Amino acid sequence: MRSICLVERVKWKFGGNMNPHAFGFGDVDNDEDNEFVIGNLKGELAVFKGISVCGEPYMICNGLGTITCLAIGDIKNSGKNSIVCVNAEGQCHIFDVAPSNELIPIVDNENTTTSSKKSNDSQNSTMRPIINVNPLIIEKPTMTLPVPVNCNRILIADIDGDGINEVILARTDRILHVLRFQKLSIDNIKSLTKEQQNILARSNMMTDLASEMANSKDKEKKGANIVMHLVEKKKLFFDGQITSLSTAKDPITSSPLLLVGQPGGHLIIIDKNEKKTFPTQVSDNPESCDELTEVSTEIVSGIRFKNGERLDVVAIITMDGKFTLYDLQNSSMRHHELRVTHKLFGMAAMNLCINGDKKCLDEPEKLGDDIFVTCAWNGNTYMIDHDFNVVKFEFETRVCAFAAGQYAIAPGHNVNCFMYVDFEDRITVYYNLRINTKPVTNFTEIMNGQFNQFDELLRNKIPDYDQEKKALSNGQNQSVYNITEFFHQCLYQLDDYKNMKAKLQREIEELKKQKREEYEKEQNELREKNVPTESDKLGSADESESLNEEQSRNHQHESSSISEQEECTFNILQDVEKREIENE
Amino acid sequence: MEVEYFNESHFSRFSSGGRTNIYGLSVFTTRLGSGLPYDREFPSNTSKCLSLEILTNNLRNRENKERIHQHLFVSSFYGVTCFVSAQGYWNTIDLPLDKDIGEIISMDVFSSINSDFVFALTTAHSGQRIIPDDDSQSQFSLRIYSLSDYALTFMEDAIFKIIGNCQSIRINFTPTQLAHTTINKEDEDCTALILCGNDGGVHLYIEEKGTKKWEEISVRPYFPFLAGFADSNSNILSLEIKEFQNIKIIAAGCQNGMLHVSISKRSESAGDFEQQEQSSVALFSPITSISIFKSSTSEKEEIHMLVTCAVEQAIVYCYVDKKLLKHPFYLRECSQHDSVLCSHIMDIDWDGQNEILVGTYGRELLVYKQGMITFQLIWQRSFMHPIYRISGLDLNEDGVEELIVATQYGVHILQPNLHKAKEQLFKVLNEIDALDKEYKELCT
Repeated sequence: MRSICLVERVKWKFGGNMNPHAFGFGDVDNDEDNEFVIGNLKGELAVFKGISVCGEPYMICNGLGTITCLAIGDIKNSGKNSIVCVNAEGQCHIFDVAPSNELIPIVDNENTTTSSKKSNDSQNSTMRPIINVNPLIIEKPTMTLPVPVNCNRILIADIDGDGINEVILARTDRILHVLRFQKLSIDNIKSLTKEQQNILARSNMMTDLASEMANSKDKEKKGANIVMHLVEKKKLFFDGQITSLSTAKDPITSSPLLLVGQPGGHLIIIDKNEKKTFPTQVSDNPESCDELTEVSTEIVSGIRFKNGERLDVVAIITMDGKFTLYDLQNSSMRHHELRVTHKLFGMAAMNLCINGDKKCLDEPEKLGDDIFVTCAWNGNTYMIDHDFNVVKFEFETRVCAFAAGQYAIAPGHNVNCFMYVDFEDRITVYYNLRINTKPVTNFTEIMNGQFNQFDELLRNKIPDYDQEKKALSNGQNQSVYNITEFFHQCLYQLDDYKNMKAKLQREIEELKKQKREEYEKEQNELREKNVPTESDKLGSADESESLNEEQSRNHQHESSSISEQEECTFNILQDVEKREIENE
Repeated sequence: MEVEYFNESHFSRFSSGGRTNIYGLSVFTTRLGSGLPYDREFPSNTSKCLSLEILTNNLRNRENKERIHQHLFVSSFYGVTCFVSAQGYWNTIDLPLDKDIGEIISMDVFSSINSDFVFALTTAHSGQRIIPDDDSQSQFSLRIYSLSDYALTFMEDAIFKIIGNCQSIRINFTPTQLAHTTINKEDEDCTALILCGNDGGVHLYIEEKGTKKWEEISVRPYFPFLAGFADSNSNILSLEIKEFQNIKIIAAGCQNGMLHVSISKRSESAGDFEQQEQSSVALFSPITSISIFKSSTSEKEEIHMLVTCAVEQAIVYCYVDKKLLKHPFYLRECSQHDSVLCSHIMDIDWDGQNEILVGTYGRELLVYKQGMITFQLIWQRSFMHPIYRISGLDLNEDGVEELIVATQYGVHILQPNLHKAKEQLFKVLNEIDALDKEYKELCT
């Protein structure tokens, strides 16, 4: 397994204990740059924007209850993203954030920065001015809606293919709720059929509705008798704890699929018609089955390109390191055991090509396959590709939450980032990730099959050339010393190469002279006969000769005198001869 | 787009608590090759002992011993990690050193006339462990492990065997750099260990032929220039001795910032080196490394000397063999990244011109290329931890040299841009091939 180091990082402040899923990447202020949103169990929500060298969030909001999960998405189907933050008490807080350039406090902050700089200067302080950008404080959410209690997973996605986003909430009591945001006027609610009102009642929302209606009386006075609601569309029951939620696209119908993770590495796929499929078979052995049911499972779908076609591949990882890739197209599964000493948690898919380069997104054929990133409690992070090549990064301390996603460190560029939330109230953000999951390669592998055109030359220069080349093409690149030695010589001992060249050039010169003499002799002998073709040939040879001379001059500026070169060449020749004798 | 000269292949972290220092890296050139096969876990496989199973089942055929191999040794406080190069891979070995030897200060690995494999360490003992009948002031020792067994089969075997064969010499000064050189003793070439210390002196140790024990000998007959420092409070931190055909250059950098250089030329009559010139300059900050190098890889070229300082930037003394210290060139960018700790010379783009690599405590690696009259920064790369040593060797024996960067907590192995190497190789091959063909055409 390869191990790497990540270098560029920044540390942010964020306190409190948190649910390892209460964070999200997304464009909360609709400026096309991704922000990072995180919430803790004390009800504090923080939004980070940009590099934030001082470590402070961009905006914060307090008193939001026991935040268990959050998501960023177009919950209102208005074309704009909101932050959706759900707490254990059954409240869903929705924040609409205005773009930063419309926010006056930011301008204020900039002013205070410059003024503090000035004041520091006037105090003749030798220290750098401490730039303390205070986060914007949001008094309260844009709106708070009632939802079922004890939700611990949230997903905003269109799961029925009607182009309208649903909110999917998973509860700790194995029930999944599918809700839709709706604007209802009071009259609408009153005019709902009994059945629909029953649905609302069953989802424990009636009391909230009543209070909401009471609240709305104030609004009525202002003429706004429209109430926002999350109306329940579906309710699904599961056998096991819902440990993970994700979506994918059906490779045949292109309709959306909801993926639900179940303990023990199990996956349930739900299509838009609520048809459930269970691609992971529960083992026949009841004992092993019991063992597995304890293990939490994470599910993520990632992109893979197969014959230029973009496909979703589902990655399933159990917290003890069983990694499975499920191919939706042919329903095939591949397994890999990740040997880990600490429990894993959290997984994300990441495309390494996107890093800061938006052009990639416009040309999907340039996109590579996604890799999957997972992290263990001790900070060990594993990056796995579709061929099960694994690269490890060791984060320096224990972590309580890990996030991997796209974030705009600098405006205008969403780049891949790793975020580690530790137990010391800090978030460490790694950006500009240089990750390559390919195994360690070597030069012989790169050159394999590439130098056939030089066969003739190399056969003369390298002892056992054919034998070694054959070994190389058979994948046995462990006995090709003569070839690598020659490559090394060509790259690092340019003197030898120059001498080799000089020797050849000199020999060519001599031969030419000889030929010319012979030719002249011939000419003398056959004076009466005219041979035009011969002289033509010679002319062209002369041309190439002068070219070669020029090249050599360019190459060996300030190079040594001919006599020394001869000596060296002689040595090389001797070496070659010696080798040949040895080989024989 | 910026050219990436190197990409990180692997980061090998020292076992817990390990840290290296500026004397903690050594490249061992030997005829001993690797004997262990490719491991499935490569490159993170680490062996701590040679299991019999491996020995009997997987031992690779003994290779032709004529071939030269280079292996890498890196020390961390309590241990030494060895990277044994093999074709297409390398094997990592944690040396099973006795914990009682103390903290490792400096290290050198080489082969001498008598021994195929010599592994020398200087160590500092913790205060409590003082042997009663010993000089209580002496906390330091020089430990020399050696093997002269010509029947050695392969490198890994040698590494595990050498641990058992150790000679320990108590030293009563704080050791710094440990190096080796060849001296001419009684008309015979012999390999000597050079140890610098805080007593201002340079100590020389040689192996007695009969007893095979290492003993200290006087420096003065061999290095009168270095012997001159014994009285002063100079405390040599870094020492470099280089020979180029008829010129021998000795440079010593001291803790107090003094840099001394001496040039000797081989006298035509006696065939021995005779000191010609020497020069000193005060740089006012501890000198962390010295590299004397030729500007190009070819035979006749200018000789420069690169000196790095803890506080000031790195300085190249151009044409040091002729102009001594009169032509300094400052590598300015280095001063922006804290103390400059190490340097290395390597042709990173295979054009025959050597580049300068500089590593800093500020975690930055800087690469300079020589222009017409200046050195220009062409590439830089940040690391996670302070950089203590840089080196280059062909660790996977594929013909291109890997860059080794030893940072505080581990060793980074970086491979050069292999596609660029391919382009360069093709350029060279094409040229030779064209000439070769022309030659053959003319022959027929």
